[in-house]
Amino acid sequence: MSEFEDNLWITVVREHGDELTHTARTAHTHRRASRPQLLAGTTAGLAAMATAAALLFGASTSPPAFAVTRNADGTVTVNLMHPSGIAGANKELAAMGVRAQIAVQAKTPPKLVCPGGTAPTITFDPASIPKSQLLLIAPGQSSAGNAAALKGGSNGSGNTGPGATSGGGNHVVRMYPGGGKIRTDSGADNNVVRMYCP
Amino acid sequence: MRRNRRDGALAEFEEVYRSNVGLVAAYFARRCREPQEVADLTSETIVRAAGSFGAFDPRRGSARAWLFGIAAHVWAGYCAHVAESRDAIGRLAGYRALETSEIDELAAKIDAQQAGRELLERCSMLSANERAAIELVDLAELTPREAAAALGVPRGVLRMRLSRARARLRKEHCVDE
Repeated sequence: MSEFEDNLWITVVREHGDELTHTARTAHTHRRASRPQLLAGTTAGLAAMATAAALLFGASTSPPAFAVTRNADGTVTVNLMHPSGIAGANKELAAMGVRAQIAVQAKTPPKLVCPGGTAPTITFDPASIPKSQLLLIAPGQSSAGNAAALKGGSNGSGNTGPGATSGGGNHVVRMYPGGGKIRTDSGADNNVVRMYCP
Repeated sequence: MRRNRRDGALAEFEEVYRSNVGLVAAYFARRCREPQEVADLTSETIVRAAGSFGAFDPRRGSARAWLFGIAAHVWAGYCAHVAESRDAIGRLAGYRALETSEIDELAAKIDAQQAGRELLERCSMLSANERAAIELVDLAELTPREAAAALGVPRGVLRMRLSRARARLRKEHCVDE
């Protein structure tokens, strides 16, 4: 896959991933035509409730796949317990008006495992994301230690997102544990935002 | 392999995407000179396909044929807007601007399609239907069955167009055999 094709896939997943995840293919489910409507209704209902509580579950009978929480100081914390929670987390972030999305690299689903079974966490201040930009977080392989690495990249609208190179300099955005803010920096360890284990 | 029902359509669409996106980009690379045009038309095709994947019925034709049918619609719409001197790129949902490396990739793809573009130009004596049949089968690697599905014609009609086109090309010495 070329870089263009990989980036286009990220766009597809961002715009239609949730819809496709909940799609019951017509050809396979002629006798279950009402099923997608029920699923869609359930999802919409959960999303509405989550705007206040900001805790959603990937499936009602499973452990929560993600949680998105707005903290008292205005920062937002995202916990991602399972890759299946990415679409829901993105939907919730969008519903909260936060210009950040977790992107999916479909061929290498992230390993979201922390010691003790806890979920990787990222906390950031949405106000520090420059206007007209979107924080794009692409889950990658776990890095050294107990951190699951997330890579920043450009957004889907042609704007250079935090963590992407722009012009001649590298503008780097880093997430720090404990609610650290997004910062612009440059250095060797660039283009990486990290989702830390708590 | 059995997939989880919940993410089945996404995984299935990813297979369709990865198997065909290069061919779709090449289809537009034979028609456009600008990487951004190729990118936008390819993106439009793929995003439309993702939005209607739930209605795709493999019993009616392969995913590749279905995708090329969408690509043909996207191209026709684009041409209509160009003909009307309207902002054809602007209507393509504002897909993102390309990174330099992506421009290089797509420029290389456009260059790689030079031979195909020349063949299509040399086929100008053929009707549009015959050209489409030749392109889908001989350049885009679709089977005659898939090409028929993509063009929305019966297989017999497609075979007839293909046969007629090849005969005319042989007669005009447009193709090496």
